[in-house]
Order: sequence, then C-alpha cells, then structure tokens
Amino acid sequence: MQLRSQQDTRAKVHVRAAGGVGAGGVDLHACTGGERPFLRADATPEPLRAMAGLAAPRMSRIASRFAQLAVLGASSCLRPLDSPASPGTRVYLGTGLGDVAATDALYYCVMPPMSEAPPPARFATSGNNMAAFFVSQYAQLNSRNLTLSHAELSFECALDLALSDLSTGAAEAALVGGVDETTLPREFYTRRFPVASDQLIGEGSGWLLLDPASAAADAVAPALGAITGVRLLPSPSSPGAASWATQVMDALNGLAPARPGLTLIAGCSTEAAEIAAVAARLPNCEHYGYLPHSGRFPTASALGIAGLFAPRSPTARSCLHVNRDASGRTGLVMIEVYGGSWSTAPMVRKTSSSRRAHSNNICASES
Amino acid sequence: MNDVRVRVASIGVLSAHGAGLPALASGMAAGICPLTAATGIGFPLDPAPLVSRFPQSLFQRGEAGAVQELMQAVDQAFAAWDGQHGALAAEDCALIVGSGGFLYASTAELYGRTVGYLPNDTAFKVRGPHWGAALIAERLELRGPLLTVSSGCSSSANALLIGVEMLQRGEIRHAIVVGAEGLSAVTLGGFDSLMLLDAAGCRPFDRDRTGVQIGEAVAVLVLSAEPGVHAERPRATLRGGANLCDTHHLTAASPDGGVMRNVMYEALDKARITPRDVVAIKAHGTGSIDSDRAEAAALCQLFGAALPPVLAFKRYLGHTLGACGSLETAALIACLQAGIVPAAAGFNTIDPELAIEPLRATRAARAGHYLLNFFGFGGNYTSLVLEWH
Repeated sequence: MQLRSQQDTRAKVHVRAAGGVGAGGVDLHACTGGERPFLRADATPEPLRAMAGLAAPRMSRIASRFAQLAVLGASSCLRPLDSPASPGTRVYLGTGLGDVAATDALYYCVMPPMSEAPPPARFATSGNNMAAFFVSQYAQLNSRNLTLSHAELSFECALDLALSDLSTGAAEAALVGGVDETTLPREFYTRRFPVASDQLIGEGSGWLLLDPASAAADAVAPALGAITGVRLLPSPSSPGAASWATQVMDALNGLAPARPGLTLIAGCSTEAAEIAAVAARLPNCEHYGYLPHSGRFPTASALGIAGLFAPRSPTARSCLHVNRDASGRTGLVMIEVYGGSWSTAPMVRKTSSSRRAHSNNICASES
Repeated sequence: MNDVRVRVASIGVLSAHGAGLPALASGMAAGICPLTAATGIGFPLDPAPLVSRFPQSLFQRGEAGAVQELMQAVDQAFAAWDGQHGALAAEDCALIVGSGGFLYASTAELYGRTVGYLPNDTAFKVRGPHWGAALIAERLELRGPLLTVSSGCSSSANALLIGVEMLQRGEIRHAIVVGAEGLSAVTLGGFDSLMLLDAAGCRPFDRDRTGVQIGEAVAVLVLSAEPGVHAERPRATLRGGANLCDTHHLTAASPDGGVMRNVMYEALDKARITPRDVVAIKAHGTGSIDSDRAEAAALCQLFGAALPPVLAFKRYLGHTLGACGSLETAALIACLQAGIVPAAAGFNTIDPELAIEPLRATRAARAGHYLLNFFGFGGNYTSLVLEWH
C-alpha cells in the first residue's frame, strides 16, 4: 500500500454515462458542443418542478429545488442507459453550499420578525442529504449514499472517494455528482461563495456513472472515457503562480507522465496567471473552458467534466482539470475522453434521438 | 485490507455532561441525564422541551461559541494524542467532519444581523457545510486531506467509516474525525413541527415513547493505523462498518426494518464477524415511535432469540443529530474504560409490539465486538463495529 500523499496508484475507472443540467435547467444533452449557450447574466433560481416531474415522475412534490436540480442532473446522466444502474451503485454527491434556499427559508420563518414554526415538509426536506436521497430513490439504489463537501473541491473530493472505493472493489459502480444552486440576492450569495463583480454566478448538477475498467464490462457497453487519477493537494509551501504550477506538475507526474496535446481545463477558483503558469510547462497543451457556459459555483467542475462527454461525437483527448479552494488547496482530475460516436454504442444506441426528444420536451415544458 | 488495525488513539468531547471524556464517563456511570429546558434559543416553544445542552457557563451562543466549541474538543483530542508530535498536521492525516447542521447556530446569527437585531460588527466568512473543517484546518495548519460529510444524523458515523476505510486502504496514517452539532431554533422548531419531540425527554424503546430529545455536542476521535509511542495494546479499535440508503421515505424507515437489518449485516461482514460475536449493541434508539419500531424489527431479524444486550444512550446525551456518530462512539468507549456498559436510561415499560427490552441494569464491561447503529433522515443508515480489548 502506498500513502496517497506520495502517489496515486489506483486503477483508472471507466465513465459509462455522463450528464447534467446547468443554469436555467439546460440539459447538457440538449445543447451539444458549440451549441451550448453562453451565460449572459447571473443564473436565477427558476422553478424546476415541471422539469423534475417529467424526468422523475415519482419524485415527491415537496422536494426542494436543490434536490430537483440534483435529480435532473442524475436523470440526464442515467436516462441514456438501456438498463438501470446496477443495484450496487453507490451515490456520492458533492456540494459546496448544500441546500441553501431551503435552509434560508427556514431561517426566515423561525427568526424574528416572523418567529413561526417551520412547516414540517419544508423542514423535512431541507437537509443537505435529501438531494442524494432523492437521487437514490430515482435510480432505485439502496447502496451507500454520501453527501460530501469541501468548498470548491467538493466534487473532486466525491470523485476521489469514489475512485478509491471502485479501485479496491468496495463499490461495483458509482454515481458521482456535484450540485449547487444559485440564490438571490447576489449580495447574500457572494457572502457564502466569492464571485467577482465581473463574473457570473451559475448553478448546476453534473454527474458521472463510473465503474472499474474491465474488459468484461467494456464488452457489454463501451466506455465513454475514463477518470485516470485524482489528486488533492495541500496549499503550496510558498505563494505565487509559479510555486503553484510546480506543485501541480509534481503531482501530475505522479498521476501520469505529462504528454503533448493535453487539454488543460481551469476550475472556477483558479486565476488566469496560475493557469498560464501550468500551461507553460505542458507542451502543446490546449485549453478548454466551460465557465462561460456554466457560470461560477462551487461544484462547477462537475458540470464541466460531465460536459466533456456531452457531444454525440466527441474528439478523443486527454484532459487535466485543475481547481483550488480559497485556502489554496488544489484538486487535479485526469480525464480520458475516448471519442467516437456515442450513437453507435450499444449502451446508448437509442439515445441520440430519444435523448434529444426527451430533452427538448423538458426544455419546452420549462419555457 | 481489514488486517490494518485502526485504533482510537485519542478523544475530545463536549456534551451535556460538560467538557472531557471523564465527565462523560462519570456522568453516565452515575446514571445522570442532564436535561434542561430549551429556553433562550430565539424561538419560543410552549412548553419548552427538555434538551441536552452544554452547561450554560461554557460557551457563548452563535458563531463565536461554535468556534470555541469546535476548537476546545479538537484541542482535547490533540492533547491526549499519544503518537508522534506533529503527525496530526502532516499530509498523511485526514480531517473528516460530520455534521448535519452545525452551522444552524452561526447562520442564525447571520440572520439576526441581517434583520438588524444583532450588531453587525464582524465580517462573515464563506459559508457552507465545510465551514467547520476549514476553520479547524486553518487554525491548526493541517495539511492532510479535508472532507465534510453532511448526511443528516449519520453524518459523523459516516465520517468515522470513511476514516477507517482510508486507513485500512493505507491512504493515510491517521484521521481526525469530528462530529459537531449545535442546538438551534430551526432544529427544535422543525422537530416540533414534525411532532417528533418528546418534551419530557426521550424514552428509547419504551411503550410510552413519543419522540426525540434534542442535544448538542462536539466529539473528536483521532484514529490511527500506527501504534502509540507507548506501544501499548490499543483498547478500542474500529473494525469497519457499512452505510446503506433506505429509499422508502424521507423521514420514515421501512416498517419491516429490512434496510436496517442489511446495513448491520454488512457491517458485521466487513468486520469479518457474525451476529454471535457481538457482545452488545449500541442502538440508534431515538425514542421516536416509528424509528424504534423499525430498529427493533431489524434487530430481531438479524439476531433472533440470541439478541445481545441493547444499549440506548440518547436519554443521557440527547439526540445530537449529525454528531451522534462520534459522540456515542466516544461515550461507549468512555463507559468501557470505566468498566461498565450502562443501563438504558428512560426505559420503563416493555412495548409488546417491539419485543425487545434494552439493558435494564448497568453491567460490567466485556471485551469483544460492539455493534453501533446510526440511522438518519433521508434513509441514511450506518452501522459500525468497535472491538474492545
């Protein structure tokens, strides 16, 4: 056994499905590639009940908007599959802020000047873990169910734990997501999560269905890609972009040898100078940015990484997603996108048309 | 991977019994259930229910008190740590916090300021479930992995489970596991709305039980895969556990207790033991009608006529929600160190429907395996196995 602070020796895991919803309830699969709209203003907490009702008809009507967002994202991920997720699939939900709106509503109710008892249903559904409960209920899973948080690295932490559980055989599959919702006013939101005045607040729910990479599993359904490593690093010993880049490169070499043509993806809390410092050390690296589409929120990385698998005919590429939290801790995720056309894959054979039709229905109903 | 022995190396605790493990042990050994009326929390309940809260003199309310509470319990655990100096701040020591809503107290302060009845004289920090972990890591300059688990009442039990599994996999050498929950108007008002509060204090598994008794606590367990500097044989080791999700209902367990039975079975399996190896069960035992019924059904299914003694701690400690995993594990260890397994306080009359009777009289502690149950809203069920040597 090897300490994770030294090297990540875990086996890669395969991505069997990916999906999510972004600001305004836009399904990743409804708007592929360049068609995905740029965010032009802060995301607003639009109602999701109609969409959630279509995606998960059995979902309780008292579920909070945060839970609806989680289930919409998970359904976007699982819907293309010909068969349900295996019963042994574990759920790992990362969230930076939790169910903010439902909790806010409770406080307004209980605190002066209202000083009223909270409605039972609102209290019962306000727990941060209720979203993961509804995801398990939607997917009919009784296996492990965890709601995890680490500010801007919440999704990376969830992915890291899932990778450990999969690589040791403790989990046979993992549904890993990141969910955060927007709340108004902006002044309150930015007290909880720093967003600069020239940056847009986003929201979303991005999910990956993962399983251990195996020839047997691949024979049943080709993988869309792989997560080949996750590293969570402490704050660098000295400040500055160069020091941070050195730490990232040292860790990257523990994950996989740096290779030409790596696609570098910046997480929502990184700064341009830091990304430039890392890019300068990666030969012929390309950049991919999802933040103009997603906006900024603590688990934007989940939506960004899931979005790599959204196009129907993605280009094969190796990606490095880099992110950090406000204290300077860093999260690295190595991703392989296998490319090719999903529409020919047995697992998603029917999805190209049905998935789009379903997504269009959802979008139409919301409008 | 279960060959790695995960010992409980040190403990820090704040509970209704006060600060420190000795206070907790002596209080429970004496059968003391420190219950006080829930007044002064900013939301009127009539009558004010009895709760298990920190002694009033210990801490301020609101954010400043929350910080004090967290840091005092962590400091206790660090002071009792018997490993190498500095090891708990190193990159191979994880900090894992479990809390369902510890921030209620400080967030209440936020809203107090917002609506103008509290002074707004300090800047707010970034908020979220991770706030407590970030605070501890910053103050103690911890460099290892950080994680917060927010899975309702099983939060810190899951934090313990994750810590044990990371140690068993050899990913880290030590783990600081923190369970924290503060008393708040939102929690009390919410449980009252759900008609799940027993205003007179809880009566786990009793025929006349009517609900839970809310409590507050911070409990810290330092887990280690390495022997202490004194190289003594560890007395308490965590062998593993399991977590499953019961999707029957948001706030109610499957009446047949099927998923509860499964999670206990899986926990025993992970620890490589059978039901016959269990010397006692620390039940979740909230005192609520449905939850106790489901847990009793699950216990009867798994253990049958050979049901070991069932312990119920919540009358002593309150239901500390997300903190109950670490608090009740610490309490069990405290009692075992004191040489006892305590009687179930609050129990008087057997419920014929449940067909189980928790331990009626305090007994001498025995070496062996103890099963600990922690079941929460959202169907989040966790069982742990602790071995006492």
